[in-house]
Amino acid sequence: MSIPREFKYVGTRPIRHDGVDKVTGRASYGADAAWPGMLHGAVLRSPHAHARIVSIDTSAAERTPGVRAVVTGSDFPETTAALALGEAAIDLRDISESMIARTKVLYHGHAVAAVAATTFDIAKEAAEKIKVVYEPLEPVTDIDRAIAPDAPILHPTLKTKGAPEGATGPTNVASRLELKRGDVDAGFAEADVIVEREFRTAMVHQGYIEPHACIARCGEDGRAVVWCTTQGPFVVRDASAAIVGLDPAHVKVIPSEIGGGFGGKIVVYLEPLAIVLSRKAQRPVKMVMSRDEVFRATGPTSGSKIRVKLGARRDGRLVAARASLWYEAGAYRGSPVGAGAMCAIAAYKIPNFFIEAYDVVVNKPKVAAYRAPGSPMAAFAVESAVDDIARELKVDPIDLRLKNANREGDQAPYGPKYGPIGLEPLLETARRHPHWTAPLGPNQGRGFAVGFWFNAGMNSSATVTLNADGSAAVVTGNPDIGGTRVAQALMVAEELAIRSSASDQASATPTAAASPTSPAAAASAMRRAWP
Amino acid sequence: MARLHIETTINGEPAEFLCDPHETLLSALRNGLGLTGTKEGCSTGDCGACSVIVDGRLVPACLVLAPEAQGRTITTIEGLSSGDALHPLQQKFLEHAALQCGVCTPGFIVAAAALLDAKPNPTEEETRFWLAGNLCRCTGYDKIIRAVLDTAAHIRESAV
Amino acid sequence: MLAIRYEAPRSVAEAVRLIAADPAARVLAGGTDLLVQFKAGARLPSAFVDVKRIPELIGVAIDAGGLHLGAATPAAVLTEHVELRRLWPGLAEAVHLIGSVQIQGRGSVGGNLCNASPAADTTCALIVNRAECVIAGPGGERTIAVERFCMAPGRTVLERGELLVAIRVPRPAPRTSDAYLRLIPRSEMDIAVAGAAVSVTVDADGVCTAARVAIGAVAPTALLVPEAAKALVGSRLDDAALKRAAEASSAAARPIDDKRGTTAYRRTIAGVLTRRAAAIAKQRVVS
Repeated sequence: MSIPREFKYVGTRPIRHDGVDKVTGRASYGADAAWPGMLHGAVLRSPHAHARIVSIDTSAAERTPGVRAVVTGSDFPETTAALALGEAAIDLRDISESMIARTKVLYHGHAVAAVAATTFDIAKEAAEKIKVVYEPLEPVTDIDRAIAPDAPILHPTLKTKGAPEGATGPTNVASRLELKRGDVDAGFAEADVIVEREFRTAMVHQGYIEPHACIARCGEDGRAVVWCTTQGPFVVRDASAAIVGLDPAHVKVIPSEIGGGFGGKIVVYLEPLAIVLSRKAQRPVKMVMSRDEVFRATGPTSGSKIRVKLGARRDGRLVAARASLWYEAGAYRGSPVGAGAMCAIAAYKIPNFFIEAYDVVVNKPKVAAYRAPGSPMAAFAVESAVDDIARELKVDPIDLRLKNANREGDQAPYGPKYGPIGLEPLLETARRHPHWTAPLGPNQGRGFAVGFWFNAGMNSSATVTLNADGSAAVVTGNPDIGGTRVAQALMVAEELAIRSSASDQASATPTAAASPTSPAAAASAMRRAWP
Repeated sequence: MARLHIETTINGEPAEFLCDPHETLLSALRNGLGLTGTKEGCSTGDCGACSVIVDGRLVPACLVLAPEAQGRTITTIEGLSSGDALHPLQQKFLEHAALQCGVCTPGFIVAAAALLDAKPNPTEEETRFWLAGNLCRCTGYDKIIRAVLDTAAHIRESAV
Repeated sequence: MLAIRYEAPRSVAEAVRLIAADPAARVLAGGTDLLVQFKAGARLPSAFVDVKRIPELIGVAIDAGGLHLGAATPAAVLTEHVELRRLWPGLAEAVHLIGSVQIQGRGSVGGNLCNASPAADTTCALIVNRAECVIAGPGGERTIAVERFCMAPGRTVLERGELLVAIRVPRPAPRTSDAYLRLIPRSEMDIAVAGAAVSVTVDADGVCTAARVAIGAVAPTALLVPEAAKALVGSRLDDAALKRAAEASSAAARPIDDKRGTTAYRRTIAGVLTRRAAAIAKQRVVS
């Protein structure tokens, strides 16, 4: 890999354009806005992880003074459309039902109803007056229970996508996929050392400091305007429109500044509720989650169970790998287990492998993207096993990885040939670093691991306007989640060879004024610009 | 229940507001007074995003009742910069790029201002200990600590 | 509608009248437990009775008799108090471990005690320093030893209309010092898995003439452990004596299994912390 030219602006460190607003408290995040006449929304959430909804009586809430609108799942149309979302297509019906339950609640914290009232306290009290009769069902909270033959079934109509021919009957396994190469049994037969391990990881929440928040207004013309904290304003537009039954062109999303997302602020949780409450009440409706709601009802990453078996020759060459991955999808299908399978052994040239991956629904919140979705847990398992091989062979863990490292032109386990992935120089650099050989003090340890993730541009767009004074303005459709305003301004300055590129307006650019752009993946964009 | 009328001093100026008896100071600042620079991250005193200074003491505004503010003196993030000039901490946070998403930043800056009032020459360990009640999910803290220590050095040098 | 009153009495008598008249009213000091419980829906008081405007409940005074601590004084006032840190370093370090700087700006030692958590960091340190609780009530004032104040998790001896006004700690005897240690899985901002406080008096020959040991988070309340103190008194606080004290603490512990630690682990740790705290307290006397 070579850097094609000297940069003049890229790589410099100007004060970020949004900096002063953020250090003075002036920057406006999701919960910071107030619209004239706005109401406040509150959500009633399920106290059960798995239950059938027998009945919902909202009359007491509706009679409460100050209440202007109450909605339940029956206020939302059935939808079957799919929405392209970054690296995967999402099923809008799942997103809609995850946002508000219809006939069943599938996780503790699943929304059942929402109320808009003149104050938040009134909305919350009214929500608590809604009488919901539940028929509790056995909750399925881990992989082993979910895949047991007598497991309670979350979705009676769910079929395993990719199941072997003839597999029938209800299941909690939403999909199964395989990746394979060579003859894995023959590979293990020629191995001198074999390790086989099983690992489990728990669901972990993204933990952004800013809870989800939005304001929506739906006017007499049926058009909606949504202010919200999101990584993907175009996702919010398209998903909200489909979920509430509007034309996407009639939904304008204005992204606020965003207080962290880490993948977790791409899906919609509040926005469609606020739109429908606003449509009923004919007033703007503001909704802000508590931290408790964020943890109970928004996307964590998958918990997982992973079995790994690796075989190596005495000389350190990995000759066979077998891995089984089960990822918790949460209440609706769509865990990142496919990506986990693709990443698991992506660093290594292994001639014989067989990887199987299962997407498993459980009674927990539906998972959302989280920093290289699916890869960390697979890396944890595989890298732990690689370390065990190094221990068995009594070789340096970096040397072992170097011996098996994939290089440019090698074929990835998932098909294509690698470009310049840089693993080998990275390992060499790490091996030469003084930290790798420095003597350890008491209670100190040292470890080494490799991780793999893809890169994808997806839909990206920017508009550059040249001003009369020779400066330029950049408009993009993504919020600035950690420095992209400056990064983009520097790139434009570099390309146009102008002294300074005026501030872009990445945040607070409404969807109506920018071209479609896939969700912000902050870390990658930022790190390229801030060496 | 009638709302309470509270008179207080906020960022050096007399301020009054109406609040519910059980409302938090955080809510009164953000909703009643429009001072939204003080952020709500957890509402349980764990994250530090709502740090404010009341009568010279650093507190989480989410665990102060609004009526308690009667007669007190409150400093929020909005009160740190004066006119055109940023507070030295704000300037150093910018220079060190000690923020990413920025939502925890007001809380960190208010907490750090309280630190430098109490200890103009803090060690790195004292600084880390003092800021342990402020959570940042983006930066990994290091640049924040550098910015605070650099501010302390800058203030000392300017005073000479 | 929520109909919660806010009251800010100016005297102990007024506060006692308010809480005696309304058993659903809750005393508000720093609010770092109460307001969290309120927001979680665990408590719905009829009134918050803010006692921080009552002079007797705020402030630290140290005189020949010892420490007089207003029950609602924020923790930070104690940790900033140079003389308090000198006389009761163990108590000061226990206070300093409570939550964050922000929490210490609100939370009080009296509130920590009234919340009656077995894991409260200050309780053990108060116990080994022979602290007493001054309680005002409709029938007048009474005083009880701090180790008798908490009865169970979340439950104290306070009866209807009673208010914890102050905590008194007698001036330590000459050549006396204390220490408090707790174990948490991270370095800051957590709740004790186990804690131990030790106070020792050591004569000029290096012999321990008096000792108090208390352990926390290993029983429904913090425990005074006389057997551990007995193991120390008469010894030179040598390794053998410290080991016996540790064994006594472990034996006295009655911990539960929960997400913070297992019964066996907590029992062991209670002993380890006793041994280490005793060594630190000894060192503080000597130096």
